[in-house]
Amino acid sequence: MNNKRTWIVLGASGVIGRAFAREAAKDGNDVIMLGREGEDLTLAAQDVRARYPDVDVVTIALDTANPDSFAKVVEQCESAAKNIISVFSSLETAYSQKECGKDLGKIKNMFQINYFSQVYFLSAVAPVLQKQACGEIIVMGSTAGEFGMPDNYAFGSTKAALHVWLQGFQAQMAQSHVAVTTVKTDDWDTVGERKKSFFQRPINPQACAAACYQYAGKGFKIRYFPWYAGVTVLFRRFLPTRPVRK
Amino acid sequence: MHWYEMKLRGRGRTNSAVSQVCRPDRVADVPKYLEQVGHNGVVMRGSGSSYADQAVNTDGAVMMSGRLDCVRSFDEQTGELVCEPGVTLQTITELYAPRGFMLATATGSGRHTLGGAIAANIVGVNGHQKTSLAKSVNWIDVVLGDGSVKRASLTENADLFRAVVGGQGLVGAIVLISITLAKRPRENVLVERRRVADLNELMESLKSVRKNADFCSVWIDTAARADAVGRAVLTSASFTGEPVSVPLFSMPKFRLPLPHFALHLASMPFVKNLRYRFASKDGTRVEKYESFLYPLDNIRVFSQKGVYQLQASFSEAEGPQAIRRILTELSQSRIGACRAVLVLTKEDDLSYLGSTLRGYTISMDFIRRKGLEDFLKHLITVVGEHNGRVSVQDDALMEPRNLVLMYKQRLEKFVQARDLYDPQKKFDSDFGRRLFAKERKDEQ
Repeated sequence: MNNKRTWIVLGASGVIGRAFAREAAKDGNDVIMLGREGEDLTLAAQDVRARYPDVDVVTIALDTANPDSFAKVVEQCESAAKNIISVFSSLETAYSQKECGKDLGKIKNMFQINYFSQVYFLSAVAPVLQKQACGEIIVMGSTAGEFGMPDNYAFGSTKAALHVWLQGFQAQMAQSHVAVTTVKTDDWDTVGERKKSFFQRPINPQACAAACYQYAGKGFKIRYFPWYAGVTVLFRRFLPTRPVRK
Repeated sequence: MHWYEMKLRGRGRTNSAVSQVCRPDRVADVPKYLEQVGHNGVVMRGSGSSYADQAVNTDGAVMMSGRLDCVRSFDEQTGELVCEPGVTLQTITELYAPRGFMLATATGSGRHTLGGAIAANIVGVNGHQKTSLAKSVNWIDVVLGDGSVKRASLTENADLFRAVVGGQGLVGAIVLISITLAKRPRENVLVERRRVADLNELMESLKSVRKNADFCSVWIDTAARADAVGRAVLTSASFTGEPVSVPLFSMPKFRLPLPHFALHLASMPFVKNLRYRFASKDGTRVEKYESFLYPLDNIRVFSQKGVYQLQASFSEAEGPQAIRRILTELSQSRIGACRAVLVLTKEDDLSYLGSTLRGYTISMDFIRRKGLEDFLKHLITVVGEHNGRVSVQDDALMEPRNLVLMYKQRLEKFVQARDLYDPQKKFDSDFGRRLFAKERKDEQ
């Protein structure tokens, strides 16, 4: 064992997961990339290998529809890891409220991926981290989980549930010196519905991943990205509901 | 598939427009987004470094390539890098310079995406040694208007290659690039800076620089008058095995967001005079290759008024005379350029809309003010009279007749290729409509 980490990246086939894998590898850490089986995961792994050839990159397909298979995946991760295991989770799917209104199955799908899959996986990996008595877990949350907005409250509810679960999980893991950080991001342009963005620039995934990597090991419980998202949340909480909704 | 409305502008802030914007996460999504494109077509946008309307599409669609940034493979033996278009030049340098490789073209800014740099076929400060970026491209995969993907290179679909490279995104979307990184001969560069008193001395100095130096750029004092026209600070650099020199004092490098008046200051004659006077008469120092690159990224200047860029290339024979005329007219008109840089170029551009000729390329930035547009249009005519070419990559004021005059048969070939590969004009932008509007009207 050394101070290097083996980062398990959930949702590595997505933009933010891919960016985080790069950040971790840039610092010389090994990466285990978990994601939907397919070209995206292969390309993401190829990308990290081509950039940082000295880093060990392992890909494992993750079937989010079958959480019972996660225990086996964790076993595979444990055997592949050469260093202290840390986890980054960016499993996420999002539908706009309109889409959810047309098909309620989409809400179920969002809960399956945004909540159940992450909760199952983190529960499965928790004993491994408790055993090593160190490590970090970073989970991507969202400011949408802080308050219900008309255009994405179904998505927000999945994140709210996750935030609450993570609060308890954080306290539990702290006893084993494992830091759990929830990074709440402002909305991605791929999530929900954004009609106009004259004043709001989409988040840069690489910058977000770099910030998440910086949070690792610093013991933060909750962080907002970009920083002003925290200010927005504060304002929304303390301002009367009516003008905000308008 | 997610589109949203956004106001985008060119780097020079002279052109802006509201467009429907999308950011594909993977190459496979590009044709799917293309299917949804409607009125006014779509243009691919990288880092948005073009000064004018090249990556702006009023009431149309804009596809941001920033998230298509996967590196597919890198061969240490041959230096072949296969990657997606959103990878920036800075990233390539950061990843592969420590392994002894470098991009064939050393540009002023590393923020350009590779796809954008190829679509604009940019020239660097080593243009007299390595020509443009396109020469180091092995092949590109291009998504055409109908959603099909075609591989193009100098040997396979050469007409498509020559049209897409330097084509400002008007023919297709580059989705995959194979480029050969050159072996870097040595780790550091020996940088030499010296003052030259006038244009004659500058041209004499450039003759030896063309033969001996690996990199060369010239800052020109556009406010100098009479005999001093063309006085400049000549920076040349060559690879060296010598260790990096540690100066007793060096200014810290900030990435400063400078206010608007900083640009005004830069265009004032006394500031130019100071810059010239303070440049050492004959100074050399050894720098690390990575820190020598991308000098423009250290300063970010915001200008509310907008900045026009005029970049023109001249042949070796016509160059001195044309540059003298431009600089004389500039000093007489008292319109100060906030930046004027001269680089050398090795050979004629291989792409249809590429502007470079074997000779000289001068690039000048001007803050927008009353009467400037007319003056710049006059300068464009002057460039045409000297058989030069105004570069389309940052131009905001050229008219179709100028383009016909300067690009002649190359323009016809470009139009033919565009008609062949994108007959529905699915790829379009404000730039395309400005310069090819007549052709479109004829079709209708």
